[in-house]
Amino acid sequence: MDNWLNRLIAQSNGRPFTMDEAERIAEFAESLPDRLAAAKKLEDSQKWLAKQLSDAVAPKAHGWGLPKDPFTNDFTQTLSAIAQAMLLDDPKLLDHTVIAPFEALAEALDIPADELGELYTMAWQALSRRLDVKSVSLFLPYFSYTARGLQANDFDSMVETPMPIFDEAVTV
Amino acid sequence: MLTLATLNTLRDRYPTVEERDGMIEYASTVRARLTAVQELDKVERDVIELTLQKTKILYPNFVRYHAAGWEKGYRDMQLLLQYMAKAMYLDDAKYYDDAVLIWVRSIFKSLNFTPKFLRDSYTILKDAVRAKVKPRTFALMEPYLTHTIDYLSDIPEPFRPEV
Repeated sequence: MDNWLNRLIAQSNGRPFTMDEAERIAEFAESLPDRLAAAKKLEDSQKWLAKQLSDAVAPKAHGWGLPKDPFTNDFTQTLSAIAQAMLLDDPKLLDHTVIAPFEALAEALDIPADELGELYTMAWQALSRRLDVKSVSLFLPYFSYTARGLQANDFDSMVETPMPIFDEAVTV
Repeated sequence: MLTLATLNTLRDRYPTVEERDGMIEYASTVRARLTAVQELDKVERDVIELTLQKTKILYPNFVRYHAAGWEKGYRDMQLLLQYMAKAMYLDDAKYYDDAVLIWVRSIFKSLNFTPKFLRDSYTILKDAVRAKVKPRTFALMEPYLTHTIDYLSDIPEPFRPEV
């Protein structure tokens, strides 16, 4: 799996970690209890949140000529993928685990990917009200990245800053 | 002991209670692990020189079979110690095996090293580490040092021993 930690370990092949590398790992390790607590909160809310997403997509699905509840499993999987990316402190994981598969799905079904992205904006608004401040700050970049990635329809055009809607959600 | 590597396996699931507990425990020890890595780095030369000094007494004929054998032995022990320290820091024994230990054992086998030679020399290395570092550092390293002894010496007797 291509993430910063695996890259750092691979790059240090044949030598000890540099102090910068060791410190990066230590800081990350020390953030794990908060990350794990946030992931547990998403896990506890996953069924509810996947239902929110499914309910939101239902009216759209009719317009797209799809069954009422087309993506339940996909939504569930993307939420655990978002949790994994947050746990690993690497939003770019979502390029491969969420954004590219959903874009391929959207293209195959001839539906607008940006509308799927809107669903994750909606999901974030709902979820952020259930989370504590620390979990909100940990998950914000990942839901933002997902929504922006799907709405951009082009990774290269994506910018790193969260969308305004996500900035607002932090203050909820 | 696959703390951080566990994170790579979570795409379609969340951490189990045991995995969560393991990572929280790891987080609480990571600074001690970093201190241990730094301590090992400082004593590395002394540890290996002490090890080779004692091994030379036990195996005086070794250098007859292997030109620059002790110099290469220094390099091998340095490599293994550094990888043990990295694995201990990451709390990942599999990383140590995959990155270096399996490969090194295959080389040692090809050089007709005996199981006893490897057990003796790496037991001396373990004792040298114990003698040169603080008990906390040794406690963190002990599983890797013991695993190294057991794994390296788990080879067949060579047809023509060269030690």
